Amino acid sequence: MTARPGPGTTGPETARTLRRVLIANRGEIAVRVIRACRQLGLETVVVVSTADRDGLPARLADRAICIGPPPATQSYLAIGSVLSAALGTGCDAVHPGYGFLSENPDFAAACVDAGLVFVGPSPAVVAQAGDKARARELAQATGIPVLSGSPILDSLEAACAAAGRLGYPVLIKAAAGGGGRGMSVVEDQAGLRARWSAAGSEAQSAFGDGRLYLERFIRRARHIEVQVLGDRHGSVVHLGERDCTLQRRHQKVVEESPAPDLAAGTRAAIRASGVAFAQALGLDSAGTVEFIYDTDTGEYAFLEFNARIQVEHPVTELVTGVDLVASQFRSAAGEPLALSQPDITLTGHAIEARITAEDPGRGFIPTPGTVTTWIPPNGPDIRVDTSCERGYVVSPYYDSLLAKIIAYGPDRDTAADRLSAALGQLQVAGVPTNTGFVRTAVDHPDFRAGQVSTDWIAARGLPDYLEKL
Amino acid sequence: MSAPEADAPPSVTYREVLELLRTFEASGWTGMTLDMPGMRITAGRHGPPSAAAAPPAAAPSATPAAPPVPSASAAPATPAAPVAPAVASATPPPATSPPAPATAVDTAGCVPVRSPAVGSFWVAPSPGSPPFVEAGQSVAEGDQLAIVEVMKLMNPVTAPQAGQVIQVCAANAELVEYEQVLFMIRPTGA
Repeated sequence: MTARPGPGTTGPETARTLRRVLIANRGEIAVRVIRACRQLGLETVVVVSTADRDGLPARLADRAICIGPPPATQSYLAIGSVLSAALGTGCDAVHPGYGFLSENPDFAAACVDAGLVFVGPSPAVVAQAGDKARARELAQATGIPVLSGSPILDSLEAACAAAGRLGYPVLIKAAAGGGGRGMSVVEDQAGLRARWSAAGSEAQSAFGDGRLYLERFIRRARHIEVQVLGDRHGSVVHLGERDCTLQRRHQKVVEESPAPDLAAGTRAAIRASGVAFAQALGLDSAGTVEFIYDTDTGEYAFLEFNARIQVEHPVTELVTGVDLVASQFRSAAGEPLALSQPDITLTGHAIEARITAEDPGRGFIPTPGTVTTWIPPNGPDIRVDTSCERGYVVSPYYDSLLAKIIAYGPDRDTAADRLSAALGQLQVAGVPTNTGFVRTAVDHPDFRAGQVSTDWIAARGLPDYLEKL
Repeated sequence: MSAPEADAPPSVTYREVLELLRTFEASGWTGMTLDMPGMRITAGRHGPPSAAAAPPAAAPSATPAAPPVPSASAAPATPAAPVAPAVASATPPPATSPPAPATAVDTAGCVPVRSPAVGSFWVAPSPGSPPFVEAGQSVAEGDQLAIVEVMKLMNPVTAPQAGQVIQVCAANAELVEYEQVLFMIRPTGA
């Protein structure tokens, strides 16, 4: 693909011709990126660990390069190995997917230093966004509501003092965190003392950065996030919001777009805040501005910014018709955005369910094993993003996501009905999955009425489900 | 990125390399060398053609090779030089097959020496130096056999046990994958 010189093109640096892309990820997102590359006429090289040598991404890509043993620190997180594979195969761009190195500023910078196009925001943006505390300061400076919280805390004593000022319960968060790891609610000082060092260790092992901070915890919260998209010429648009309120242990389970049951003024304000933050950040790729919404007060506050493609991006694609991964490539190549804000409309409703190899009956414990039956649902309004197939091995080294099943409908109820039917069609054997539980949640009157909060699964959804078993 | 080679045709793709090799296979030629911007492809029907006796049997592009890829005698590039596209590894399937040996080598009773990392394979400690080992040579346990360079980090490849090097399975300067077989060694006494 070749960048079309836009009105804002300032020099040769802004236009790059991409030919061959290294995909520095695994699983369904690797498959998703390969699909986008094919549509754009780009060649693909995927890196694999020895555990993924025979997987779907390795077979779909033009080439697969084995970069290390199964532990991610020695393969998917090994910057030198990933870059060696990219340069050794003549790639000119790297797509990091989500997780792994996607928000590692050192990796983004190393790609650029090696002459590779990083398919994501420029390294300075990644660095600024990746530091949660700095991102919050930026939001505050931009006039966006921010949840009261602490700066980075370097000791348990400092944490106890900060928690005293904020008022319990508080949330412990990793400065470099995301995806809920290294994040936990503590109800009182005893809980904080018990949890503090483990949270630091988790953050250290998950992100290579053990720094923590605290945030006020909202009891009845909804998670609402704005999809934003920028280019290297200073333009930023939003593609509406997603509601990702159904979570277990801070991991999203069901996501949808647009967000249900939101006052028109609040919806507009949240979207405007998302764009304002992205503009202040200088976002030049796809990103997501996450907000927490207090269902008791109707107030919202900035949580964090993710400088990458999100797991739940398909719901936005279905209601806007915009291919977000292709948009990432176009922005990375220096093309100006093809759409301006008035061109973007949300039509209908989309809901996604994450199918994981986890047993709801055993506290959602991820369960390694081999998938012996895999029959995904289909239909005109069903999209399945997956790398799973019969014989797929759920290994203990990676997350337990098997597939994302996304249903589209003209309205929310229809989308939910279609998702429920699709979940009923899905047949998996060999490993336990959360399918039955997710279906119950999607059919639950609370969910249908839009009356759920982030603790709903733990407090209501799971107990209800287990009782019926 | 395309600016420096504005007049040259764009570099070939992986699929085009495959197509070239298929065309070669269908021809009656015994060898060919193709020079293109940033890439040289050398193929031989009965093993690699010797570098001296390589008049281009087919040269659709008459442009001189620039920059040349490291040749068989090359060693670690200067730190500034990026790793050149590994042409030899364009043979499918790349994940598992080392380049075919010139002649069938009997590797019965041999132990494989695998790459400790993904990176560039270097047979010599520095440019111009003789290689660490060559096929037929005897080695002691722990002897260095090669280097696998990962982003300027030199990882030594050492002999897991004493024996004779029967085969060098990767080409110098080639991208090798993690666990790719680099050498076959027949242990002493085997």
